[in-house]
Amino acid sequence: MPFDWGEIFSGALRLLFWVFVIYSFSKKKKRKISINIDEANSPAETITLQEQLSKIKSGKIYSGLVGMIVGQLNPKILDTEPNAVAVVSAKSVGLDSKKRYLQVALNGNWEDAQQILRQLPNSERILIEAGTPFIKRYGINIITEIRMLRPLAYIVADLKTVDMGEREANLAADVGANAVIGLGIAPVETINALSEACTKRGLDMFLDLMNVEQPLVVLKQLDKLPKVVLLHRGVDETETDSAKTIPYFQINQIKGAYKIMVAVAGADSERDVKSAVFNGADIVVLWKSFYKFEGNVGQLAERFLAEIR
Amino acid sequence: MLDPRQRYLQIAFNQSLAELKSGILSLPKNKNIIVEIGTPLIKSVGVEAIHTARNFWSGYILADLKCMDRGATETNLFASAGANGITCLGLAPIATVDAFVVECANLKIDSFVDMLGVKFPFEILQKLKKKSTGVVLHRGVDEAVNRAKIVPYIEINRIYGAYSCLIASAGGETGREVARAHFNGSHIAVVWREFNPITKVGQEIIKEFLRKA
Repeated sequence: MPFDWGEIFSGALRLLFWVFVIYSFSKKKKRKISINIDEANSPAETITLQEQLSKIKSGKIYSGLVGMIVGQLNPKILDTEPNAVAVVSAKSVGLDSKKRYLQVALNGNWEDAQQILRQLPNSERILIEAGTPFIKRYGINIITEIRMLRPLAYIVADLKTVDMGEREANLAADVGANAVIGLGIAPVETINALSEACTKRGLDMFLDLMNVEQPLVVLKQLDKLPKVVLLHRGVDETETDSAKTIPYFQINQIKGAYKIMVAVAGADSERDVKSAVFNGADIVVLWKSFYKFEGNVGQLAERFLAEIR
Repeated sequence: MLDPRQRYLQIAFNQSLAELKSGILSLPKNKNIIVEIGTPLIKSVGVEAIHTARNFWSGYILADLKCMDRGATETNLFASAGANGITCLGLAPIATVDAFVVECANLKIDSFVDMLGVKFPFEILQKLKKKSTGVVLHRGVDEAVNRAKIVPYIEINRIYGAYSCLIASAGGETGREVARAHFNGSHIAVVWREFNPITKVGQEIIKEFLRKA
């Protein structure tokens, strides 16, 4: 029986077509199985996030996956960690310059910090800061622990970077922080290196202007502006010199010149919070009230949040 | 406490606990070698780095904390873990540096003020209520890209002449630079690049230093 070459050829074409359709469909489907982080509030989805986080904790998954949960990780992880696509989407938790935030700095011990994290209200306007003494005591991996308790929070790593900017940005990105704090008094090369690495790794850079007399001079020298500048009255300064006040006058000076958010640290009372907001602060950083787990910190945070509305 | 009549080689470990351990184990036991726990390692693993170093090194351990605030709190934590010396930033508020120096004196450990980014170290030292044990003169790692910024050897004799404190020079990375730092009057030469992990060059630096010491 003679071969019908036309029939064979068209059959082969049809087969190729369906193979292509099935292949592209399966590939597309794999990429699409994801949970939008903003909608991940149902128990099942939260469990999935928690499961992934516990895997990260036990070292079964590349730790950068935490970063991916908040939408910051290099998409290359999809090639090496196919499980990752089942959990996350790339929508990031970010700061909105039209909103005002309360930044709760954790500086005491981890036992107190855990209680505080459990009691804090679920608000996108609460930022969690791992303070410098806290990081120096427990190491940067403490941020992974914080993420376990607050999977959707915006976490700031107060590394106070003064040298090795790229190295420190990578440290923070690897454990899933959303932002790193560098020092404004650091050499300009360091701030630029930190800023570049933050951009690469999808982190926000905060610049702490503690002990900087002329913030505008520092900002002018930078290759790229930070997301937030932090005006500061140091803890030691506050204790030894009552004349040293929070430099509120610099808020409008900075905002007048640059479109960046301004955070104020060193406020302790509701009155301080009120005056920080009145003077134009976008973020108010509090630590004393959250240093130890005392009383109802949840209610306290609610009260502070009401002040900065 | 360190002796100003001696010369020291300070080796900074910045990478990981595993490298810290293997690095320390490969060092010869000598009182003129100082093990520094670098700032990135402290930020990476916390106070655990000092505990690990102390388990393997009975000599001098310096914690490069680079305190910027809460001088006393951070100092206390690391001194109780076994550090013999701690650094604080010269760029920090004077209140912080003062609190740091006083706390170090109370705890009987050495206090070093790191002058990274400080244009005029004298201005800082003049303002202190109590003299620090030492000063670190610095060219930062990121600053090294700017060739105009050099290790400020010129300050060594001026500071030592006025304050008789220990001087550590950081920023040199070869045997020649270690010798230059000591020749220029530094009591301590700080190195790190060839020691994370330890390379042949690093081993040569140690041998050369011990031969001259």
